[in-house]
Amino acid sequence: MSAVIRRGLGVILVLLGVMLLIFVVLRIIPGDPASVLLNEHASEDSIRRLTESMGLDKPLPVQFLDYLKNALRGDLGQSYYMRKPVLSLILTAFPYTLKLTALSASFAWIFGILAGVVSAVYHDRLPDHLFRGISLLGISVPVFMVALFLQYLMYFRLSLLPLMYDGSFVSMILPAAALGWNSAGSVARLTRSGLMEQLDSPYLDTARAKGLSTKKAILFHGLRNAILPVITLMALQLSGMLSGAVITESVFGISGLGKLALTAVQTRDMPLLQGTVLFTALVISVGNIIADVTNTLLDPRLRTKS
Amino acid sequence: MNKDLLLEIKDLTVSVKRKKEAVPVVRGVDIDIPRGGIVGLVGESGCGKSMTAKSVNRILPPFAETTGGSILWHDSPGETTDLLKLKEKEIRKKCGTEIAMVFQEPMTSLNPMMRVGDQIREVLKIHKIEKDPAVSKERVVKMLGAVGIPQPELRYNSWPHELSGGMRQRVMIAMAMICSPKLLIADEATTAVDVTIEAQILDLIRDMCHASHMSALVITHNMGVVSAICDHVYVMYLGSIVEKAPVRELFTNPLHPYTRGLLSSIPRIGNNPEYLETIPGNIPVVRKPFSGCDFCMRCSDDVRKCFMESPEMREAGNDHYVRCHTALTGPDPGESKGTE
Ligand SMILES: Nc1ncnc2c1ncn2[C@@H]1O[C@H](COP(=O)(O)OP(=O)(O)OP(=O)(O)O)[C@@H](O)[C@H]1O
Ligand SMILES: [Mg+2]
Repeated sequence: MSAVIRRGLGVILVLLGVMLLIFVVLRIIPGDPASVLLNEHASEDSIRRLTESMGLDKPLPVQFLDYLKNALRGDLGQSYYMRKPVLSLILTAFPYTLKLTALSASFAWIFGILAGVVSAVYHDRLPDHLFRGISLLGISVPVFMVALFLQYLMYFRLSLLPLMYDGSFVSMILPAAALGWNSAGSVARLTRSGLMEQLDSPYLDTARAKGLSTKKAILFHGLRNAILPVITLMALQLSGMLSGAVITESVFGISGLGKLALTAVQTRDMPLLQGTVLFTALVISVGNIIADVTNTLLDPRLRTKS
Repeated sequence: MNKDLLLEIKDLTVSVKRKKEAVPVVRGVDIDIPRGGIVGLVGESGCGKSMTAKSVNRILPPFAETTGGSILWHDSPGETTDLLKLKEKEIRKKCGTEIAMVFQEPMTSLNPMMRVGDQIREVLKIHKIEKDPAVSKERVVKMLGAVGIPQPELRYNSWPHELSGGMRQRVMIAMAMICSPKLLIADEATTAVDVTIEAQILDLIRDMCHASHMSALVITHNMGVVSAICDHVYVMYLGSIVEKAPVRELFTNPLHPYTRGLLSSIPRIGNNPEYLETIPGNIPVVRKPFSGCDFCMRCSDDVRKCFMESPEMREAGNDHYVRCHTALTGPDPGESKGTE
């Protein structure tokens, strides 16, 4: 119980820190939002009035406390640029990002674990070399390169899949594959090395003495023991995927959270940027808690301790 | 000679790959296991006991392989299969049902991520012996009770780390016994537990053998274990059998100097407790073919022949065999190096 409370407090601290950081950074960088919003011919007077109406004339600590107070009430402010409540903008965009992340995570994890298992079972033989080559590529090539390559191959060359996102499931496949590529590579590598570590464990001898073939022993017994660190990695990857979504969503024209954040940066839309960063931090914290909890749930040794 | 044998290991050779070179670690081993008999295999660490055992149910590690000999399994007198010639599928079918094994390390031989009851039940699942989960669970609980685990229903759901070493070894024995195998291989099953638990577990193994006419191959480096449960003993040194005899015969009349060394290194209460006999010298590494006796470097009998010629297995009467030039005749004074 106390562990849950401790984790909850941790999340709150992290979110406060993120808010403070983004707040300070956005005020340090040059450029006055009011003059960005109005065009360059705007009068001194109208700029001053706008600044006042946005509360930007108050001292910084007061501004921060105001922001905190409103955020607690679920009000993340108005987007300067789109003139809509930030929260509703985020909530409209998030489902797209969620779909993209979920799909690319399932792609990455299923493919990654399969490749890792095959690699370990056939270690130092052809399938292993093949999959290790692919996962090395997966890890070392950046997301946008993968995205462009996949577009080139699947649309321009083979015309199998649509170029841009159009709301259909099929059009989500390419972005998901592009975004999941890196993660698949590292999941495959960690699964392989984890399994390899288990390969000379005595309990695998026991499993074979019971009548399981070597492959089944690895699959049914070894994998159980190798998978825990992989699960931790996968939870951490969720945050990587959220930041990768910024690029993927732009390349494939998906109006998700990443694209929203990008727009916010391009238009110096402070409330929107603050909102998206805060929301992403929240999602990542929740992801980490889930990783912790699943690890405790899955590992009987940790379970008895707590 | 016309004993009813269950298993006959004949001229078994196992090699391990080391730097692309095959080094034999088991060299021409013969072991007979009678139906219902308990056979001991003793020898110091690294002499090849586990490799011999793992050749029987074919679970040798990837770097080791059987390179010669045969392991004959007599289903009934007259019905014989060579386990080394069976296909992988066929040998796996025998494992867990007819041939079972208990390992040295109860701490690591159970899967830490699986409830102990489920690990035992898995044997029934693998061999499709009991489909109904309720029935198979009941059978496992009964078995847990039979190996002396208190509150077996409760223990079914325990995780390995929640049990003591002795309890885990009992779980391993329950797992081995669940299909009433014909042969139990216990590879240093009591090395990792303390003496009182050791005695209990040995009793358990012996009782189970007697109750179901099961045979056992008991591997150990402890002569005390041998005297406690074995009928017949094989002494292994550096990959080959150097002496074999019925247990009483071996203890009263040990012939090979290595066996004598093993016997005098058993601690006995009240018997010169400050001084524990050891065998001088180190365990030699298996080298390329050496023509002399493997034990000559550590032997107190200093005979030239021992350095020149590898001894054959010779009969000493009373079903007692020994591989030694001097054991039966005594060192020939004319040949001793001391009289140059
Ligand atoms: N992992 C390994 N790599 C290379 N050689 C090995 C390995 N394990 C064992 N061997 C070789 O096989 C020989 C026999 O090993 P084995 O495990 O059968 O010995 P053992 O008699 O069971 O010893 P212990 O009492 O320590 O279990 C060893 O002397 C060693 O040279
Ligand atoms: Mg061993």
